[in-house]
Parts: sequence; C-alpha cells; structure tokens
Amino acid sequence: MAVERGVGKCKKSHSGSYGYPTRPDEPYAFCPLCGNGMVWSCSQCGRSLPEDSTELEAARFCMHCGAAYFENGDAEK
Amino acid sequence: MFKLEISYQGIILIIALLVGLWLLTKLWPVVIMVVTATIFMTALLPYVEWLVKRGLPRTASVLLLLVGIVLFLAGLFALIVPAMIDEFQNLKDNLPANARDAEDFLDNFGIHVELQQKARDIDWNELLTGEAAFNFGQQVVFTILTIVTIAVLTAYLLIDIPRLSRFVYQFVPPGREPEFNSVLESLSRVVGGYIRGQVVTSAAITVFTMVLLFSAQVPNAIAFAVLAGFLDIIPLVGAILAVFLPSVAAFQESPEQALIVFIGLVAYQQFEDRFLVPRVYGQTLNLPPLVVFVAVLVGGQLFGIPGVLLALPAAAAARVGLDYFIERRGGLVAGPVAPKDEPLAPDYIKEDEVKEEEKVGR
Repeated sequence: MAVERGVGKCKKSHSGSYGYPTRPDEPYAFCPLCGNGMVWSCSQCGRSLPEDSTELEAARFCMHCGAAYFENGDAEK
Repeated sequence: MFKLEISYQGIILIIALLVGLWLLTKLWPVVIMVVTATIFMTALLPYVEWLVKRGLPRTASVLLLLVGIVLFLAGLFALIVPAMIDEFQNLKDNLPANARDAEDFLDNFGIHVELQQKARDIDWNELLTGEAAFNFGQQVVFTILTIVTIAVLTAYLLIDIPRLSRFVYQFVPPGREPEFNSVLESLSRVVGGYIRGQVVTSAAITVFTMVLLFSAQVPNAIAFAVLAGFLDIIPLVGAILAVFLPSVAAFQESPEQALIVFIGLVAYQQFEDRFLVPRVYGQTLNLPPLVVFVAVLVGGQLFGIPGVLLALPAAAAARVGLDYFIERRGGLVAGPVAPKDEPLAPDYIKEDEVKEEEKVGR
C-alpha cells in the first residue's frame, strides 16, 4: 500500500505536511498555529503545492494552471 | 587591548565538541563498523521494502535476506577455499621449479640471482605452525567477529528503520519533510547503488578471470579470480593490478599464455568500463575522474584500506549534499547528481510516486 503524503500551507504561510513519520496520516483542515484553513492542492487542477520549502512559503498561485490558492490570491504574512 | 569573551553556552559547546572528538578517536573502530553497517543497510533496504510490500513481516524479510546472503557466501567459500588450499599446495610444491625458470629467464638479461636454493630453503612447517600461524589465526577470528558484528548491526538497522526514521523526522520542521526526504533518498540511491553495482562488477570480473585463466591453463586460476574480484573494489589501482598479476603468473608458463591473458583482461576492463558499469550503476556514481582520484588519496591517507574502499560512496554522498546546498541557493544548473532510478534496485519509491500521480489525475 503506497504511503500518501504531501505539503500544504495556510493563508498566513504556515507550512504543514502529512504522511511523513511523526506527522498526521491525513491532510488536516485547519492550521494548528492560526486556525486558518489549510490548502493541500490546487482547487482548480488538483496538483500538489511546491515541495521546496522556500517555494512553498512564497507560492500564491498554482504554477500549472495559475489559479490562486487563497481568495484574491493573497497570502497574509 | 584585545579581550575575548565567551558565553557559558559557548564554553559548554566547545567542551562538548572536544569531548565528542575525543570519544570519536577512542571509538573509531565502532564508528567504522556502524558506518559500514549503515552503508550495507542502504544497499539492502530496497529489497527489504520490496518483501514487506508483498506482505512479509519486516523482521522475517530482513532475516530471509540475510540468511540468503550468508548461505550464498558460505556456498561460495565452500567452493573456493578447498580449491585455494589445493592451489597453495601446488604453489608450494612447484616453487623451486618456478624459481629455476625465473632464474633462467633473468639470466637471459644478464641478471644472476639465486632463487631456486632460496625457494628450497623455505621452512614451510615453521612458517605455518609458529607465531605467524598464531597471528594469522587471531586475525581470522577478529575478521570473522567483525563481519558478524556488522551483519548483526545491519539487521538491527533494517528492522528498526521505521523507528529510526520517526526519531530523525522529529527534528525536521513541518513542510520541510519533502526536501529532507529527497536528500535521504538521493543518499540512499547513491550509496546503496554503489554497493549493489560493486557486487555485480566484482562477481563478473571473478567469473571472467576464472574462465580465462582456466582456458589459458594458468595455475592458481581460482585464487587469481577471487583476488581480481577484491581488486575490482579498489578504485584506479585495482584494475591495473587485476590485469598485471595474472599476466605475470601466466608469463611464468609461457609468453604466449601471458599475451592471451593480458589481452583478455584488458579487453574485459574495456567491456566493464564502457558497457557493464554504465548499465549496472546508471548515473549512481557520476563523479569526475579527478574527484575519484583525490577522494581515494584522501580516504587512504586518513583511514587506510577502509578509507580507500569507502572513498567513492563518501565522495558521491558529499556531492549529493553539495548539490542540495547549491540548489538551496538557487544556483543549480545541471540538476542533482542523484539518479531518479537505478537498474539494480526494485523501485518501491517510484511505485509510490506513480500511485500519487494517478490519484491527482495526472
């Protein structure tokens, strides 16, 4: 059975991950630091967020389809 | 006036560093064994994971694999050791005659040395029953204990790898896991791939040398073949010695036999370098020759024979680390050195990636 894993972020750019050792097995809905909703994939094309931590922190739009990850394309700092 | 101020934390750090270095020098043999076991673990891990994915418990998978390897090696030794003892007996019996041939050969060049008498004067019983035999016995026992210890350590590492992973991942910040995982996978592919490739190339040169020397009717064929297998592990010099030593032995029989052996082994080296290595290693050890040369020199100077043997995987692992840091700085142009797949390992990681891609509809 393949292990599912991925990375995501909330609109305050707090990074998270699932499926890795010591991390939750499933993607979780809310950021444990600020309570905002977590995004784990593009809502339009379904592709994963960038795995590179610097790119993940900076990403606001999907690099494959251009859709915004958050409303108005804004990720608050 | 210059005044140096060091905080309490700084002093504690320096003391801890010095104690760590002191411990490292004291425990050096243990460190070498743990590093060697870790390298073997990375080489065997894909096969263990492959068995686990097919439903076998992890401990049973590890034991099955290690018992298989031990049985294979025991069979190999059972085949080789009696033959090597016979060959040693022949060598001992024929030494005076060979020494006379060598004398005659050197005479042709005006070099006069007394070899035959010296060969007759060797007291084999004293050599084999005295202190040398005792030391050799001690060395054999020590080597066997070391091998058993490394095998047990490798087994523990293979069984405990999920728990070890959890321990290490505790220190990775959330969201950084993919990068950390990618570096670990690259290291695993480079180091494990090197060992898997080395096993195949050593086995291939052993079989080829044995067939060639038997065909050319050169004495001590099995001993030279096994030696060639070990020499194949040593970078740069090993290949030269693997050609030179059997050729010299064949020359004692006749120049024609020496020529056949020399041409055969040089041709094999070309085959190994140009055909076998690229297929067996893939891009696992994509190191420039200068780096290989310097790595071997540094390894040999620092750690002797273990250093020479570990120089290439260590250099390749260092390059993975270097690539990661260059990539982090945004300067990577050619892409990381670690290959995406490797011919000798069942690619359980790739299977996961394919399933994940299918899931998101790519």
